[in-house]
Amino acid sequence: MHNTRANDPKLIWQAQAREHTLISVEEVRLKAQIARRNVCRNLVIASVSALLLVVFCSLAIINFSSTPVRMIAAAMMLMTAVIVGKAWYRMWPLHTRSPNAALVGCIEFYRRELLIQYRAAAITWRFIVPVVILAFLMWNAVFRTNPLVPKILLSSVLILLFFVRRRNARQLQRKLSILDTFEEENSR
Amino acid sequence: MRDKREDLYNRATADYGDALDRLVRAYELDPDKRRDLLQEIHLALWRSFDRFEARCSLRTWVYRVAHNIAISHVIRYRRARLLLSLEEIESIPMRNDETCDADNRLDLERLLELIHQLNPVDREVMLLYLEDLDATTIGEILEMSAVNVRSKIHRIKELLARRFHGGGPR
Repeated sequence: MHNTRANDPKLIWQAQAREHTLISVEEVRLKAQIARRNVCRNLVIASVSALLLVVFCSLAIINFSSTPVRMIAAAMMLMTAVIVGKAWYRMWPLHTRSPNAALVGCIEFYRRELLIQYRAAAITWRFIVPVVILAFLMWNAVFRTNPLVPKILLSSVLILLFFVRRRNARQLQRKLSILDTFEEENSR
Repeated sequence: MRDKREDLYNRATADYGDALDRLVRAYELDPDKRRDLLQEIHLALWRSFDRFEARCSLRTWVYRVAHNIAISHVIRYRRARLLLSLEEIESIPMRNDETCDADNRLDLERLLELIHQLNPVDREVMLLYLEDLDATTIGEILEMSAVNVRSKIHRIKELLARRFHGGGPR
């Protein structure tokens, strides 16, 4: 077999005309900044929710004389601080791609990436739910409105949160099941 | 840090920009998505250079990251299409026009068609082989043994010989 320039697959492959213009450093830097901003936004939302939760817990400690309530509030404050601290530690460094390119490593990497995305959203929900519940409990002490208003408003928010979180969980499950099928097909 | 990253990125795009452009063609048929995939690869490279400690060559690093992203892309936009291994594709008979009317068909088109039919692992090996990388380097990039890569390359060569020169067993 003799390869000529006309029929050598390597030469045919390497002789392709370039389809895309070079992507500039500025363009890439901009995209990297956008990706980082998204991570920051999630962390900031989670942190603000956590701060609100801490404020509510502090109010509970100040206003309630019952020791068990105070202990629960203090435990919640401690847990919130630990969760937020861990979230910043885990998510603040930019999530970079794994250098492992073998298929198994790659699938594992993608699975991990999906889980991290889900956790980043889940941590926000985790703080928002207790904040909403505590706001519901303390509404009448802070605002003077018809007692029905907080009941309707806050229970609607809780229901909304429940459905949004459920939708997120389903989306993740769907993506993971596609990934599992893909892995199964390619491991045969 | 920024200077080091920018320097590495500039070197990577200057040396392997063309190869990355070819690589995305092998993973995505749709031109818009192809552009997105290329941008995603460039972004991942930019981000990954934060962690590049020269434990492997720049070429190995660039190809690793690029293939990693490309496979993630394949998984994300997975179509209901059966991807084949080299062994399976060898058993598929060639169409008549491929054997006797080769001059009338674009060779590159045929090559791309063949690549798009392959499963991700075999596709990666074929692409790196077409980029003229040796078995040891391919093994290093894909974290496979050189023996395994050589065996795959052997099959690839036979397959390409049959499809492009009409030689070898049918």
